[in-house]
Amino acid sequence: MLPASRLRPLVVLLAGWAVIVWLRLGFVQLVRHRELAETAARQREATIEVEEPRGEILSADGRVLAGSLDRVSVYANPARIPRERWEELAEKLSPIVGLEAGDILQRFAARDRFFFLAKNLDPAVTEAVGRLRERGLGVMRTQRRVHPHGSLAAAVLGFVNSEGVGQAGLEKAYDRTLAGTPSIYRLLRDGKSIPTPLDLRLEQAGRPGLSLQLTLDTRIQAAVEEELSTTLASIGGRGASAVVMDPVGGAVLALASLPSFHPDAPGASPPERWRNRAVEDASEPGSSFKPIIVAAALADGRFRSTDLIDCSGGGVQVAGVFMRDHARYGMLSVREVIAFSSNVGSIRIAQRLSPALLDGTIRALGFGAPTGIELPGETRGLLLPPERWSALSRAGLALGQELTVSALQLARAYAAFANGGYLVQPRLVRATVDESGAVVTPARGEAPRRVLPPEVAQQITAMLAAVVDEGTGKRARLASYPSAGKTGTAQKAVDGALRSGRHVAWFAGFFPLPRPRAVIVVCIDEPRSTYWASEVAAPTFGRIAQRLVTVMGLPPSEAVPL
Amino acid sequence: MILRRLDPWLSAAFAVVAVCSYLAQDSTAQALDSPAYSSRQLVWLLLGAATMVAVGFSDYRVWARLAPALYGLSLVVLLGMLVLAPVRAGARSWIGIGSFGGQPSELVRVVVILLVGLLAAEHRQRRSDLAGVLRLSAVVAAPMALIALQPDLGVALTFLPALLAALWLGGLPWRLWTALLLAALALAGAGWAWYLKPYQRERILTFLDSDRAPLAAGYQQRQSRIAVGAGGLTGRGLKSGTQSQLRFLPAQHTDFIFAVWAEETGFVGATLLLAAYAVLLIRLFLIALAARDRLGAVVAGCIGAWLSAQTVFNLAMVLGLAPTTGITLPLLSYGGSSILATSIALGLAQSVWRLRFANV
Repeated sequence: MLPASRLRPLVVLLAGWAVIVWLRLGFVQLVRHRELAETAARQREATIEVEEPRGEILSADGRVLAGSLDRVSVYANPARIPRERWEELAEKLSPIVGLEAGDILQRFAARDRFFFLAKNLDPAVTEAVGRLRERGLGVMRTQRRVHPHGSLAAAVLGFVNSEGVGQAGLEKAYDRTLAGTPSIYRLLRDGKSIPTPLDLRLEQAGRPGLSLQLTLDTRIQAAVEEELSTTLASIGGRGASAVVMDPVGGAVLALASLPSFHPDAPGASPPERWRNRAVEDASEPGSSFKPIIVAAALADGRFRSTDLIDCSGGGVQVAGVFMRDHARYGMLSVREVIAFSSNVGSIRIAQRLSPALLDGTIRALGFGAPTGIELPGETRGLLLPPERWSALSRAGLALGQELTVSALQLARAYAAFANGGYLVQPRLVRATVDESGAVVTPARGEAPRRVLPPEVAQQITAMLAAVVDEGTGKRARLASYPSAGKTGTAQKAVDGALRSGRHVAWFAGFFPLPRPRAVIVVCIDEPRSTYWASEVAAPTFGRIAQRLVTVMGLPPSEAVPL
Repeated sequence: MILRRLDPWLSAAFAVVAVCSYLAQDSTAQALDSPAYSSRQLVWLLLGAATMVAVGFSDYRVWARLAPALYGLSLVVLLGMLVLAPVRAGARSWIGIGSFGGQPSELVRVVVILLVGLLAAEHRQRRSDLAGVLRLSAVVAAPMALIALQPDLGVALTFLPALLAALWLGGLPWRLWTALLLAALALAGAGWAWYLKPYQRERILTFLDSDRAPLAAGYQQRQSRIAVGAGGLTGRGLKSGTQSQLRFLPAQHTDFIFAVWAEETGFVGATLLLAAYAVLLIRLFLIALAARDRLGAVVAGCIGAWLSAQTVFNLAMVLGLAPTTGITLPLLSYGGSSILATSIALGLAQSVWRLRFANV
């Protein structure tokens, strides 16, 4: 009844369409299969990193300075929770996460996707959340860094941010070592980017972080911090720092920087307290630098310690500038120039040394370069190359001006006097160890390097002993423990200009003689009631040394001078 | 056996598509976490098969005589729905009591085809009758407009192929075809300007320029193409298609059900399903050729045109050859009304086949 001629074009039209669709199907499924399957895989698979426990920071005396607690965070995805369950769920969650039910409801309403409801909770909540059997809720493992000793050695330890990443100090410098390798899980994601429990497999097992074993001793550190606090409390000042170091091995036994902060909550203190003054700050060393000048003179063979220097009655003209002494000295031996800290004597010595020789010794003793301690942000100090020195430069250096040094640099140079002429590498980390305590990496650092002839080191040591016995460092003296050391009082340069009234008081020294066990450098920043190092820094040195005696078990000298 | 009087090819093709439909719905029911989808689809498919057989054993000419009355009823229902039907997913297209109900527009389409067949058959051989064309167009346009106002554009569009097929099979001359084409273009322009919602325009623009909105309107087509492509030659296995199971694929139990099937059974399974559709549709046109009268031919031809167009358009959409319009895949997409309407239509075609000899 129906003409086939009318039907045929219709069928042909539809068949043509059908063939096109079928070819397209083949094209999408066969030709583009690989590419689209990859897109699909990319879309649904995601990797998540789960942190492994962060390593601890342990003191030489076996104390935990920084450790980690297992904590958990509870996350929620309101889009996955039927709205009629919200109220009931909020009620049940409230005691678990420690939030008001109304508060939880508000947060549910405010977000439409994955968010953290509460962080830093006890791991016990994992089970409680699991019992709710709600797939829009989950628990993620996290950690919290704790510091059982509070602010002790805070500037050395540094701290971690809320993600557990080291932000300062050893936490920053050794972040990758401490953090270990996170475990990587590959997980399927659905169209709403929500992790599903459908498939979760370990792609790469992580490794817990290694722990750091420090050379730092909590007893020494505590003693040093206490003594610095005492000084700051009695004299006043902007801050103080101190280094106690083994002169032979370079092991740092204490590294203090005050005022400090609590690494559990660094945000509670102003950021300038986070820095490690002993390592990051550089100031002019003042007279505490004179022994370096004398060492250069002795090492060159141009002077002997008994040579007499004309101190010209208390003043000297250098390049048109008149420089004064604190007293009208006449003729002083090189040894006395150090003992009485004569400016004119020191200038006279420096003026007779070539800039190259002076610069060579200063740099050989580690100034102008970072010490290489395992801490971030170390200063190199300021030290101009000889070709940029002015006519006054040698005189300036003779007085410990025209350069800046850190407390650690000064300690390193004094260690060379104490150990017979070797430049040591200061170090804080004795080893990195795994969970079983096995050493993974021993200490790093360069081997000691000879920078002074032994007899020069001995002569300087003798001069420095005289300083403590009869010179400016008398107040650092311990009767049965002969010490060597030198004061330094420097005017502070603020914005490039020396500012009177702002000083840095130094005392650098070591004890007990004849075989020193500790180099101690004390630096008081802007002491208030008196600024003379002999009255500020030297007594602090004495008190620290006195406390080291018992902690380090130092026997008194056999040859007690009576 | 009495069933032999029906077209075995059409019956077999229906059975294959129905099995695929159940499997696909069973898979997506798991993905959507609504097991009821697959069992309900199964009930509707079984009900559909029974309906097809029952209608097949009735006389399509009786239904055609009832068509004007049914058509009147349909218009009343559609008009009432615009006011009374509850708004579901932004449209007043569903009526029912409790959860039992359906979309009358699906059934209205069958009624319209019957009436169109009746008119085209009465129309005889007067080839250049403009009045006849207008009458046919009006018969289709009235319910189409009411459905478009619900608004359910997807269903409304599926009325067009039936109208075009009726006009063509009714013997409309080329002259009028040209006029019709121009009218259609004008109508499309007007529709773009006044009827289409911004999201619908966006879909068409997205189709024309797939980079336009990769996350919003283009998302569905992109995900659909990824799912189909990820299937490859043999597929990922039933209930194992990651794109559908992880719900990257939108509207997967309705408009994009074919993507689920293609991902899980691959090119092989998809081709098998397409072959079943091809047999089913080709049989409809062969039945139109074999019909004893003009009414049967036009009814079967219109059903063939409608189902072919809807099938091909849905597949083109899933494969990224046509914009997203909400046109479902007959028998495979989830939905009782749609399955029932399709089954009735196939039953009518069976009836035309069964009564093809004048002496029965």
